[in-house]
Amino acid sequence: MTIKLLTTLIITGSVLVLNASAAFAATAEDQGLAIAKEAKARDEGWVDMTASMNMVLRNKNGQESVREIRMQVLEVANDGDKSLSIFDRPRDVKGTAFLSFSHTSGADDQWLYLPALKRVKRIASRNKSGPFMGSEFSFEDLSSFEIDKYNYKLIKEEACSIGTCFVLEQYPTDKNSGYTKRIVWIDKAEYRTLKTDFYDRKNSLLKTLTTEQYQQYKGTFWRPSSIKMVNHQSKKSTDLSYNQYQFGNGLSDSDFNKNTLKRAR
Amino acid sequence: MNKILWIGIGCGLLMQPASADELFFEATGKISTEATLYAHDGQFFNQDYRTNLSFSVEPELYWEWNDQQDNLTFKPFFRKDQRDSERTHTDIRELSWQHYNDNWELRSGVRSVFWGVTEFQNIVDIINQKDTVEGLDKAHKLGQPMVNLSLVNNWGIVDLYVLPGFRERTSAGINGRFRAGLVVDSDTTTYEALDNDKHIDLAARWSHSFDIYDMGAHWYRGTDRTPQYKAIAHNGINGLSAHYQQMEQLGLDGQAIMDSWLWKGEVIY
Repeated sequence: MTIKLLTTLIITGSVLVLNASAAFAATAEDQGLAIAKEAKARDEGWVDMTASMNMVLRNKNGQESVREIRMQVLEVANDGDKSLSIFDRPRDVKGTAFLSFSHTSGADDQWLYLPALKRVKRIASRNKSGPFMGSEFSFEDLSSFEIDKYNYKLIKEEACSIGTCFVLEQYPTDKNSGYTKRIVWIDKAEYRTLKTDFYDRKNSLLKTLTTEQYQQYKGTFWRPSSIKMVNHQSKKSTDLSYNQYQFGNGLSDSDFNKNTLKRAR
Repeated sequence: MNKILWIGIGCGLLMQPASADELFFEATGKISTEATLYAHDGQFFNQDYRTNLSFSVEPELYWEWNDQQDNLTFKPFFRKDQRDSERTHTDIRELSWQHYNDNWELRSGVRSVFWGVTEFQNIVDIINQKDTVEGLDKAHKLGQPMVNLSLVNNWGIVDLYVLPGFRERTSAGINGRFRAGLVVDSDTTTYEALDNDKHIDLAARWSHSFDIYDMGAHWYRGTDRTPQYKAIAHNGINGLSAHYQQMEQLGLDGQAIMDSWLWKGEVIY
């Protein structure tokens, strides 16, 4: 236990030294970009993933409603991820499925399958600031993280819940984004995002995302079990709890098309 | 028929799925009751009522095996209507076996298919007959027997259909409110095809998504789902007789996303 802790300290220490030496050489923008690239690079090569997601929507009076979603995600080289989400609860939307092709730049391609009508509908994803399933998450918040989606600036380093964090400002490059900026806390040891503040088009604080209970999978990839989004303006919140993360399921492109969307259940 | 109030109450049921190692089984269902209130009696004879009650059940049984590569769905439908004996009807919405492979799917049995992109009035949506006694919105369809092979390619999905057997369009009976002055007499239906409702129809469809576009094209040859009505006297009663023609049709449907606009179009020839 002590040895493990010590090893972590040493690794953290060496990362600190590395970054300290880099810090003098570059502008805050370059540093921010470098950190974002490192975070992205550390999370590459997971190939595919499946997970179950429990979504709890809470209004300002504390009333709750629950959604249950299963997800399949495929990593795509040089482009955004492909994902298929299937709704299990509430019962009246069971079988509804959502297919999304994220892209590094520009709008994502998104389709929704409505089982009662046996109909696939294309979603205008330019409307990316719209809420996902009535939650405090917008479609944009759930899209995969890609370097080109933001411009970056490192503003400071400070202590956070697990060690020291880089504090980065991210400015969306897409004019259809619902935000002027995001402020992100990334831990220096493992480049995990711990907290994100979202600023709306009027540049006032809209939402805060807290990401907790990280676990490492396949010895490399960190995934949170608990994600909480609080809307400071509406006082509503949405909690996501992920479980049953599984990697290496042998998913391929052929698992993500309109036929697989229609038969999802 | 001035003021109409629809009250629908639906609820879902779930029986515990009995899952074995190999076979997964799930039973769900929908029960709904409907009360309709009219401000006035109907325009025609036999419509002298202002309230109507109706009740429907739609259980769904689902089996899955072979590592999710095969499944069987059985979804019967039954409606009991207080006034209209033609609206009291039974249908098999789905009784089909589906087999999935990496780049193709085979779907056999009674099924329902949707084609099209526009919000309502989908002129390219021609595979299933409409169950018009369920409502005039055309969202309700009768199950259609078919064998459908679906092939997934880089350049789009190709669906090939063989459609044995034809379903007549449902229509309100003498006591129904949503009807014309004359009632459709289902005993007098005629067909252009010599084998009547046994004619085997064929269809093919290509659909693809690229960039901001979703496109589809189809070919169909067989019995037209939309009947032509003519006034007749059958057993001394005036009524309407449905006639179903043969047709060959080509169709295109497409949509494009431009910023927050969705442009949609459907064409048939």
